[in-house]
Amino acid sequence: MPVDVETLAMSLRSFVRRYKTQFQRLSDRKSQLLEIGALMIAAQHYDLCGYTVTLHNLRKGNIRVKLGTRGDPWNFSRFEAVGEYGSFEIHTNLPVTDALGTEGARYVADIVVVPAGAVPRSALGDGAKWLDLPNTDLVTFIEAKALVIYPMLIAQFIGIVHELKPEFLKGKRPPGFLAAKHFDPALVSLGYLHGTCKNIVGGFEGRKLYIRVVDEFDRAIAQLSRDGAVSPLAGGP
Amino acid sequence: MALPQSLTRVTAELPFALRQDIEGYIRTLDAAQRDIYADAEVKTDEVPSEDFLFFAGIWRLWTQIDGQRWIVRNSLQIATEFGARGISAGGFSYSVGSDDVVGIRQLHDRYHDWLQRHEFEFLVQIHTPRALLEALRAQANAG
Repeated sequence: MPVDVETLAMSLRSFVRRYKTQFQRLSDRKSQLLEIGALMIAAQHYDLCGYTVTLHNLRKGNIRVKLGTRGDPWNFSRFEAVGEYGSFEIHTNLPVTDALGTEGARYVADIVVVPAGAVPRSALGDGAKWLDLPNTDLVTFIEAKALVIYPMLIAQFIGIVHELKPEFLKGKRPPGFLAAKHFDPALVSLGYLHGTCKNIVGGFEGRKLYIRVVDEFDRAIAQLSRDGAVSPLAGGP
Repeated sequence: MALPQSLTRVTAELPFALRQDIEGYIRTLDAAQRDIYADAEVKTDEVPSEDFLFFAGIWRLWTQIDGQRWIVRNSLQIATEFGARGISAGGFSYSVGSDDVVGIRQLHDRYHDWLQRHEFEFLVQIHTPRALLEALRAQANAG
């Protein structure tokens, strides 16, 4: 190699030390930015599919994004998509019951699409606590990861779909799902699709697995802000 | 194989989560490198394995910084189209000129400058480990 790797390493080490605070911020905001990006992709998907998409519950003009399990959904912003086939809402980090109704089984999906009104818009009366979204109200969802998409990550995602929306793994979608132009449960990742995964993902159609894998979604979101954009969540078998 | 020392000297300075990400990624590449070399038709005497993994670390760090910049910039553009001024999440605030947005851009520009200064600007165009390996071979041959 024409370069001295050791010298380069020392230079980069100095660089990282010098901007330590900024690297700490980079590390801290990593997962939240993924979820923000995934939220925007979901909103744009419905916009591109002909829905009228509006934002609700802004705070001082800003979208307030719910991160993690803490907090009640009515204290955060939501998108509403109104179209020919119904009205839906897009939320972040909602706890959802599993498909079997197992007592206490809740999964927090990063981005969740629900029928309009399925999530309370204000605190419940009598001090009651809102615990979760009934599984029957879950239309579809996105999981966002910062990783290279490798086989075990796909297996993990299939496991989540199995618990939340198993019909999508059995070659079935709910009636009206395609007509309403919803997207199949999706895994979006900042990383690229590892070589060993290409055949796995390529085989979804033949196996009638109705799930989406969107790699390098930082690039996908960039495409979305251009004219003539196509939703990276659209399509599927 | 243990991670190259040249790389761990750098990652030791990174915040824990970022360090885990970079090192975990390099371990994944390490496990797959035989296939990557074969796909790229590159031999280890053309690009030594340690050098490939080191530059993969530099590249991975770039993708983390660049990815955040893309997401913030485009998310803000989309948010604006829907009538929002910005986005707040946890303790972070993203709007035009906010500290967090400026911080992301500054780190992006500084790291880009660093790559440029060391004549590794080509890394910003790379999308796959195979392309990285091919680029490293081309650079070695040019040198």
